[in-house]
Amino acid sequence: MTARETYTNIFIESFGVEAGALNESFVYQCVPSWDSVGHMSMIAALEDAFDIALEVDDIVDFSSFTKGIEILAKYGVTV
Amino acid sequence: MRLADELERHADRVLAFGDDGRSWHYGAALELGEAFRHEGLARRLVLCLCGNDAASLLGYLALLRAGGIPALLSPTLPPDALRELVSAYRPAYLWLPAARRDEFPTTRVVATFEGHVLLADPGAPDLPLHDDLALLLSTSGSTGSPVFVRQSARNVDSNAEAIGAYLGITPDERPITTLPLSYTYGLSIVHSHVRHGCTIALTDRSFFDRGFWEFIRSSGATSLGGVPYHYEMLAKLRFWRMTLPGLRTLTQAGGRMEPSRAREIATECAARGIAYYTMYGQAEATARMAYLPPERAIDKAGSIGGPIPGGVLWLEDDDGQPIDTPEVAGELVYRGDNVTLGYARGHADLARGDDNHGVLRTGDVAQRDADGDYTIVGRRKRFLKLFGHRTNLQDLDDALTREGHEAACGGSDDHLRVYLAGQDADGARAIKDAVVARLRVHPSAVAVVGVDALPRSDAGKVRYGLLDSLDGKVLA
Repeated sequence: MTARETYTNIFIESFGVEAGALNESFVYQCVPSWDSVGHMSMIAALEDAFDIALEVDDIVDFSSFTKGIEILAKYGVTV
Repeated sequence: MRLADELERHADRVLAFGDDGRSWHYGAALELGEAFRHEGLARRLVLCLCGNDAASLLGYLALLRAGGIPALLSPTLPPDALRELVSAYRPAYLWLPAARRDEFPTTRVVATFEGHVLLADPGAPDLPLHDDLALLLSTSGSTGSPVFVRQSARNVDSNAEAIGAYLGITPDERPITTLPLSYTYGLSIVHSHVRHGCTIALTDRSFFDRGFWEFIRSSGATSLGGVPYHYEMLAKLRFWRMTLPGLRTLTQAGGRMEPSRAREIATECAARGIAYYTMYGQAEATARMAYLPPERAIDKAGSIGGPIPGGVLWLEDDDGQPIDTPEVAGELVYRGDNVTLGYARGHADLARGDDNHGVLRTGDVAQRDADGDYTIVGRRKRFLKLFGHRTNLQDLDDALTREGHEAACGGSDDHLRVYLAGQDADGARAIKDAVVARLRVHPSAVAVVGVDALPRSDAGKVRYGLLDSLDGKVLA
């Protein structure tokens, strides 16, 4: 699986959405399942999948599907 | 209610700071209360959709001032669930965001404030409400269950006073909102602080929103409360590395925390001079019944401590006899002025008086140590807590059975597991979706596990105690 597929699947699993919904307008709290509980489980899944530990600033700045791609790049993960 | 009567003393003080930089005085809530009084809603039922915003907080206090009987609900309650509640309770008024006004086309707008509207239903019957009834709180958060707990003025006043006494609340305390106003714990924080004329730092933002952390600093918040899941989030955010010099008090309630986690928090708090309180309660006791003071938070981590001022706790065995020996488990029973009047399942119950007579059987199994501190060790009834909200597993089982599934529920707090006989992955997915929709929880809190068969006794009853040790495969 490519990093992009892993990243997309984690969003699909964490928020129960279709791949088609995942774009720059998929942002924090845009669906009921992206609440604080969903955020926590998504972050944990990303950390496991890419074997990284996100800094606090990055956890709170992880506010959209697109922003997340930028943030992961800082950890050497190219999505 | 003394709490509402005494708001006048604080008229010139600031009631709330908003995260948009605005602020509201107690006087504004008093004025709104006068407007509501003129509307004639004294001793009438008012369904309120309450978030952590100025309209919700000031509107709620104004309703109390005007002598209305608020029934508090989550602002995210879906339209169909709200309609069902309205038909079960026939409220004379609704206090809700203006955006939801159109859900009730036959009502009239009689007041507006900060984006909320007060709707009057001219067709509502003049139903009898018991003289002692002052407030209704939902037992199950945002699921739209029609069950409310009936609270009296004495319940609210006595609990707010007891909480203020053991937390040592003074007028310069400033709690930040982390819990919904419609949730008994969140409301108890408001009640216990407005009695003292404190300012509430009012925000709907979550810990994962940068704005929350900016606001906690700019508002000068001195305390916050959380259910165990909040403390999981704080750990993830490496909370202990943050510099928050204004923070003096942390409280935890809404479910049992692992002793190791409680000790870790207590230790971190002690090192920073923050007072950490583990607390225990239920909506049936207004909010709080027990607390563990900061001095014992490390040594007694995992314990709920002893009764709040004015309350009495004891344990009873299966025959209802008091247990006097330390370290013997029994059902935790509480007596105090904060034990509520009872439940309501529809408007007819609002005429009922006091069903409980000041004594609450908690359904929790506890033991007491030689110092008199209590520790919860189990539950008599089959329920678990999902993010602080009680979820009855028997109700879920019954619903699954009605829908034709051979399934039974288990798991632990924040992790519900539905055990399903068979390996039907599509069926499991459908069950998960239905359970998530019914409970309105995040999907990650629910797993459907396929097992060969449910463990049953010779009489065919499900042996619930064995469920969580079954070998199974997570299907959804």
